[in-house]
Amino acid sequence: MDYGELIKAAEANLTAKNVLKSYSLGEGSYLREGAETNSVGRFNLQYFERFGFKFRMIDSREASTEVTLFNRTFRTPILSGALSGMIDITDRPLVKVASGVKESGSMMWVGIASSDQVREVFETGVPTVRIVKPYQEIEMMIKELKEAEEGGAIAVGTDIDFFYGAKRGDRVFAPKAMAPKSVKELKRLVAATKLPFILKGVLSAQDAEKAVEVGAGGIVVSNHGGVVIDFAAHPLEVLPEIKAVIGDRIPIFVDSGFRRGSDVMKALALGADAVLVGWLLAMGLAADGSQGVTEMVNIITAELRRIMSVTGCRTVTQIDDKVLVKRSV
Amino acid sequence: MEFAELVQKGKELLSQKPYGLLMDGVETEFDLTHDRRILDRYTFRLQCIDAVEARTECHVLGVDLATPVIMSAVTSPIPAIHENGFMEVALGLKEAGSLMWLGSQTPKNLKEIVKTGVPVAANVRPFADRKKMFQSIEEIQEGGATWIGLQIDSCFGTKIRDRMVVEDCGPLSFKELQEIRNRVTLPLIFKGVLSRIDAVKSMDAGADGIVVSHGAHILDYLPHPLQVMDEIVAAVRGKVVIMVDGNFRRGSDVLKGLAFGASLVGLCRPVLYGLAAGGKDGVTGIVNAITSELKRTMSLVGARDLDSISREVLISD
Repeated sequence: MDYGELIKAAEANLTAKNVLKSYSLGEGSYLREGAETNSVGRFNLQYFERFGFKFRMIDSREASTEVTLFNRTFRTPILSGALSGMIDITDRPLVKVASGVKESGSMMWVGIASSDQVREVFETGVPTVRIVKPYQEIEMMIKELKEAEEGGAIAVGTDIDFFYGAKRGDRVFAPKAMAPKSVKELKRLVAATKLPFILKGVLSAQDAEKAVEVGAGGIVVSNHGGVVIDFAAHPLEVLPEIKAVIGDRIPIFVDSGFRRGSDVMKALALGADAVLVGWLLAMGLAADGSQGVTEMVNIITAELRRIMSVTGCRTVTQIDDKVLVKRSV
Repeated sequence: MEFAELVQKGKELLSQKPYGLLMDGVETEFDLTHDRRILDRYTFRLQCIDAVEARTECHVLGVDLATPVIMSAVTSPIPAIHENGFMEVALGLKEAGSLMWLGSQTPKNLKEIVKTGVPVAANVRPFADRKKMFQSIEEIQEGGATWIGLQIDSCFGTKIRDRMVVEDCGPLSFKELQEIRNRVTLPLIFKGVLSRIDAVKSMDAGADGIVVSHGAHILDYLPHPLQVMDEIVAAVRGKVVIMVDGNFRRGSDVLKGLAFGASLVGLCRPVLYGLAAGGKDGVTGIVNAITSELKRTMSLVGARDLDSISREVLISD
């Protein structure tokens, strides 16, 4: 299947299960419902359109999309988002996504999940990052981090932006008691694990500086799909200032509304090392289970490879902002 | 009622009756869409690490407020929306720890409004008949208002669509502003400042504060106040208190006004929606909801109180 066919198949299956509203990007859908006026839903996708690509055809050759992260090689910089839920799409969704991600040579990320679900994901053998919530009780976080470490995670982390839960429209959803984390508390979490510790939800140079200070092993630049605050910046708006702070010291991941290889290319050009995709994998899963997930990652990777090849970037590390033009939309 | 319900119900009720064309703009009604476009230009830098729950209390020109979310100057539609409208608004704002700002048609029961304990600012129009203007100032001072607002921008009247609605005004000279300053014993705020030059003249004439505002029905194709805030703030910050209004609707909008350097942000329609939907409780509900949105947003951008909000929290296009 090609991209359009995969999406169509996913929509047909989601319609049959009567859950299309939870996954479509149309007006009034769940994914489009961010905090308050949902500015992020309105602007996230538009923001990508501000950038175009310059061609560099002469001397070009087929690009390699391989990346090295946490001392491992992956076939693509398109990684799984920190996934949760999706039980309305299929049973055992996380393990199915994990198998699909493994097949495409990518990396799995897991968000809210039970110990059993996390164990099942590890058992597929896919390199996995485990993100835990910023619970008020640090001990509770450490317990989940330890479990992940023992289970074989390649990295762990927390979403620092989730301490007030998610806000959709005028309602706040916070599953358990959470609290903001101080530099001191983050240092304690970093020290509690041998694995790289990732801070997800960095959206300013200030938090990026603190991430380096606490010894983070990576950051995810994210506006959490718009559920943290209305008018949260688009990750690409702050990526350059964050890259300026971080340099090449730790990997920079990005998520929030990535739909095509061109979107991924723009993030890589502005300083990201890899991109996390959630919605795309949910659509792959809905279209054709594990195989749909593999196909989706492969399709977006092929789109990226084509763009890299025509913009004169032979490897992911060669991509920089010289490939971009910025327009005012 | 939740914020969305209050707004929805208020909008429906207000669209059922004619409220003096309140909701219409000037001529081409450019501002009705332009203001939103400008407010939507700015997004926030999150600062989650070391975050603490933000506080919104402030002290401005002798008044203690629980929130920088105040009412923008308005009078005429209030009695039409609710028979006891002024008192309901006063009690609702008092409960929310906010400030009531009356337009230039001073209500007859000003003393009763003041008695609720809500801080009250009342506007004076630059009547061409200056005697009438000074009379209006006297009435407001005797009525016990907290601040006086001078509508410097309605000097050539107000216009709704193609119709002039106020025509009995005339421009004020710098000398007259000084004269007014000398006659006013209360804190004096010039409302309708929309350029660096007027801000500097306001300061030099002795204003205690200014409201950076395009008014409601002054002129077509005025900029949104945020577009001129930087030049005004650079010129007069620290010397006069700067407030702003202009189609601000939610906590996120308010934070943008504060980040540009305003001490208080005025909202008009949301207060009227609250009044229409639920009387004094509706007014309290609206101001509290917007304040709690502001608080959540401040907490997530690393601003623990109003003084620690900087322009840095904003990213502009």
